[in-house]
This record gives sequence, structure tokens and C-alpha cells, in this order.
Amino acid sequence: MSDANPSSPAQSAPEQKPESALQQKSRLAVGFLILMFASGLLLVYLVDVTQPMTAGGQEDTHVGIAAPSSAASTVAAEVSVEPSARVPDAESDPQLFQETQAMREQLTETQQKLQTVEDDLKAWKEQQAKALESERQSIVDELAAITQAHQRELAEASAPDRTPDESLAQLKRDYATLNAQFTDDGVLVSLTESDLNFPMGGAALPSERLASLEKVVWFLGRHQNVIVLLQGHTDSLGNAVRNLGLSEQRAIAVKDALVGLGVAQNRIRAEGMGETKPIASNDTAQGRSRNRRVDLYLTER
Amino acid sequence: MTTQTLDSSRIEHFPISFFAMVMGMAGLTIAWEKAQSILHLDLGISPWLVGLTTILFVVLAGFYVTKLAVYRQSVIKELHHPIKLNFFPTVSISLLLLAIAFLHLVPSLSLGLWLTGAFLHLLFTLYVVSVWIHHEHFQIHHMNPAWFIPAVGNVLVPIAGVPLGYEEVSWFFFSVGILFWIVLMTIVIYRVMFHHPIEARLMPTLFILIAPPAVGFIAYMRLVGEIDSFSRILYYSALFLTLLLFTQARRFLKLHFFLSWWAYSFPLAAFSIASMVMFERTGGDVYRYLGVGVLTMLTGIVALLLAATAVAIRDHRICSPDH
Repeated sequence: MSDANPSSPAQSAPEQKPESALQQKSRLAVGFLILMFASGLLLVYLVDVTQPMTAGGQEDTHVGIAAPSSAASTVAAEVSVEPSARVPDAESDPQLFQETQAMREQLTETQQKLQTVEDDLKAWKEQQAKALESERQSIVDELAAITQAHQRELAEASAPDRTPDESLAQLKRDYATLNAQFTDDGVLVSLTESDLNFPMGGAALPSERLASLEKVVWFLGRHQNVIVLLQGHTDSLGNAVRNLGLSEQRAIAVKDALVGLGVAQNRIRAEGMGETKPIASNDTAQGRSRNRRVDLYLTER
Repeated sequence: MTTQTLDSSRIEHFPISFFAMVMGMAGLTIAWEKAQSILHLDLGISPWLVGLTTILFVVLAGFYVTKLAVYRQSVIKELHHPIKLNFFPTVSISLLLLAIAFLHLVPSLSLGLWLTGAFLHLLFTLYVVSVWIHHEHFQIHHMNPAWFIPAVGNVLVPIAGVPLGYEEVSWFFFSVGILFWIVLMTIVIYRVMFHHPIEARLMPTLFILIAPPAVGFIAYMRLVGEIDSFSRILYYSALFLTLLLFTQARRFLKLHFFLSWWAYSFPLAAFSIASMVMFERTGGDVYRYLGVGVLTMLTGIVALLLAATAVAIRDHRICSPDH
């Protein structure tokens, strides 16, 4: 009995021991597996962090998968023709994959270059078209001026025969040619920014001939009894006093130009209105552009 | 003299299931090739892994050919064994896996390996299935997941077969593999549910359940080239089976080491590769993390298995008569 008692725990101990040892071992193994799995996650994360290039490449793959279904179909077509010409992916060696990647990048680069060239070409074409158009316009204007000058000569030759009604009708027609508006202050011809090409903040007219002014000169030539009031206007940007001065200088510049084109100085009066008479909102660029103008009021003496 | 007799008797009992080692190593090699490709990383380990796997295959093949030449009778006995029989296709599977590993390294060698592997595998499949049909000694308890090995080999064929230009042949093998996968899956579930448990020694072969859908997914991506409903079904089945088996992890880990433990390795490699392919096709980062995570875990498992195998060989526990 005395022997049996101590022996029973001694017997149960070796039975339990392998059990717990095995359990410990399996727990260790589970820990090991989890650790190994986690190290894989860490590897991917580290690769992402340390290689920003990879992130870019990832983007590429995303796009490659998401966007070009046409590319996929091209690949499919290639495959049906030549099954061995597969896209290198699964199980392929990284070298081939990288080569493909490099080629893809090169392709993208070339496409970008091509795009730039196309854009340049387009811009150039537009520029050419614009230049041609302006040339055509000036020729048309010149032609119109010549024709009208010829008509004027004819009209002047036959003037004595003309009735007052006829001359009034002629005047109205000519106003229409000028795109004139009838206002309380007289017949208004508004010369906008694009008509006059003043430089930013300056009052010097460009040296080339302005079609808009030539029309006015032609009109004034035909109707010697008409006098001109020039009113310069600006937008509301900047100093009001300076704007007043600038508007006056611009009106004077137009007067000088008209005088230079043969209109008698005493038929023209120029004044600056500054920013006081806007015809459009100064809140928008378009409105401000319309406000920067020189108005011509034509009145019969 | 004693050592020689011992050695020769060990050759006599050299088990065919040793080739499961090549499957595991080749799976690991291919998975690392894939991982380096998707991570844009060159760790320089691919040549070592490929070399090691090849040497392993050559050495094992050498042993087995010796056994075939000297102990023909014991080879025939193995061929008639209801369980060991299923491990014969591991030889052809090893060839097919080496063909994948060499696909971009030495294409001509890859072609040779693939042709041999595919042909041999067809023979093994025909043989194994005809044994199944004309069973004289099969009991339901003979049914074990190792029966999946012939099926897995079939779905493995397209992975190298399609790039090598044998598309229709690849479809043939793929179809056969899927056919047997569905049939065997049913039988295995039935057996596991309604009959006495699988022998402890073969428990790890349950992991082979992962292989057909995982390998099937990779093969299907080769054949079809795009993610569609069927490829999703394959991948997520593999994912589910992986989760299922990991919930059983504690049970597995209480077992003693057997050579069949190598069965863990290949299906995990297949699942890891499938996840990485899934990442490539969908861009989902989850698949990348999952794929690489499983791969590093597999690397740990393979390291343990190599050590355990070495210890078992030293202690003469492998090439002994009862294996």
C-alpha cells in the first residue's frame, strides 16, 4: 500500500507529460505558422513602402486590368492565332515580366510624345487658319472700300440729281454698314477692344490699319455734314482717376488716327468717361472686356 | 556488410510517396518565382530552388529506378496497394511541375519534361482509374484524399501546356481533372462524414482537397485568360477549403511525422500561386497579402518538413517495411 501510493502519481505523471508536451509543441507550431504568415504580410508591406516604383507599377497593373478591354481582346486574338505567344504572367520568370513592363512603359512614353506632336500640329493649324482668315478679311475690307469709293465717286457725280429722300435713304444704308445704333445721344458706333487693339493699360493704337476705323473714315467721307463725338471708356479695375485719364487718351488716340486718315480735325471731339458708364457687368472678364471701348456718336451738323 | 544489407533493404522499402517531396519543393519554387514577379523583387533564390528541386527529383528517381531494377516484386506490391497506388502519379506530377519551373529558364527542357509528364500521367490516370473500377479489395476506409493525386495532375497539365502550344491537349487533361475532382470530392466528404476517421498517418492528405480547385484556377486562367464566374468558383472553393483546414490545424499538429506530411506543402503552394494570379487579374491587394503570407508560411512548413524528413531518415523510420 505504502508502495502503491507514491507509485500512482509517478505513473500518471509520465502519461500526462507527453500529453502536455505534445500540446505545448502544437501550440508552438501554431505560433510558428502565424509568425511565418505575418512575415509574409510584412514582406509585402515593406516592398510597398521601400519601392515607390512598385506602387507605380501596381497602378499600371490596375489600369491594365480595369481599362483596356480592347487590349485584352487583342491578347485573346493573338492567343488564338499563336497559342505560344501568351502574355508572361503566372509562373513566368521575373525577367520576362520586367521586360514586358519596360516595353509597356516605353509604349506609354511614345504615345505621350505622339500626343504632344499632335497637339503642336493642331495648334499650328489653328494659327495658320487664323492668319489666313484675318488676311482674307482685310482683303475683303479693302475690296469693299475700293468698291464703295468707286460708288461714292459715281454718287458724287450724280449728286445734283439726287432728291433729299434719296440721300436720307443712302445715309441710313451707310449707317447700317457701320453697324450703328440709334440712341438719344446720336448715332452710336461702339468700337470694342478687339476693334482697336489697345495694349493693356496703354493708349497707343497699333501701327497697322484698322478695318473698323477705315469704315468710319469711309462713312465720314460720304457724309461731310456729320460730326463725331468720341467717348473713351474703361472697366472698373484699377484707379478711377487713372482710368479717366486712360479713357481720354484712348479717345484722343482714335481721333488722331481718324485725322491721320484724312478726316478734318474740327469734325471730331474726344473725351474720356473713365469707368463711369459701363455697358456690362465688371464682375466678369467678358463684361470688363465689353466695357473697355471707345464710343463714336455721329450727329449731323 | 551490415550497413549494405541495411541499405539494400531500405531501397527495397523506398516508398513512392517520397515524390510528394518533389511536389512540395517544386510548388515552393514556382510560388517564389511568382511572388518575386508580382513584388518586382529579385531575391536571387529561384536558381537555387530550381536546382535543389531538380537534384531532389533526380536522386529520388535514381533510388526508385534502382528499386525497380532490383526489387521488382516490391514495386508491383506497391502498385497493388490500395493507398500507395495513388502516390505513383506524384512522379508524373513532379515532371509536370519541373516543366513549369523550367518554362522560362530552359524551354526545350521544359517541353521534354512536359511531354513525358503528361504522357506518363495519362497512363497513371488510366491505370489508377481502372484499378478503382475493377476493385477487388477496396473498402470504404481505403478511400482517402490521396486519391486526389491523379486528379490534381490532370489539372496541372495546362499550366505549362498552354504556353508550350498544346491548347487542346491541355483542355483534355483539364476536363478529366475537373471530372474526377467533382466525383472524388463527393466520395471523400461521404467517407469522412459517415465512416470511421482517416488514419492519422494520412490526415495531412486532406490538404490535397485544396489542390484541385487552386491548381484548377491557375490552369483555367491559362486556358481562358480572363476572370469569369467559373474561375471565381474555383478560387473561392480553394479559399474555403484552406480556411476549413486551418481551423483543424491543432488536430493535425498533434500527429507524429509521416512522409505524407509533405502533402501539406504542394496544395498550399498552389493556393498561394492562385491568390497571386488573382491579384494580377483583379488588382485586389488582399490577394497579394494572402498569397505572399501563405507562401512564407509554406516556406516555414517546408523547412520543418525537410528537417523532420532528415531526422526520420536518420532514425530509419521512413524506409521501413510498414511504410
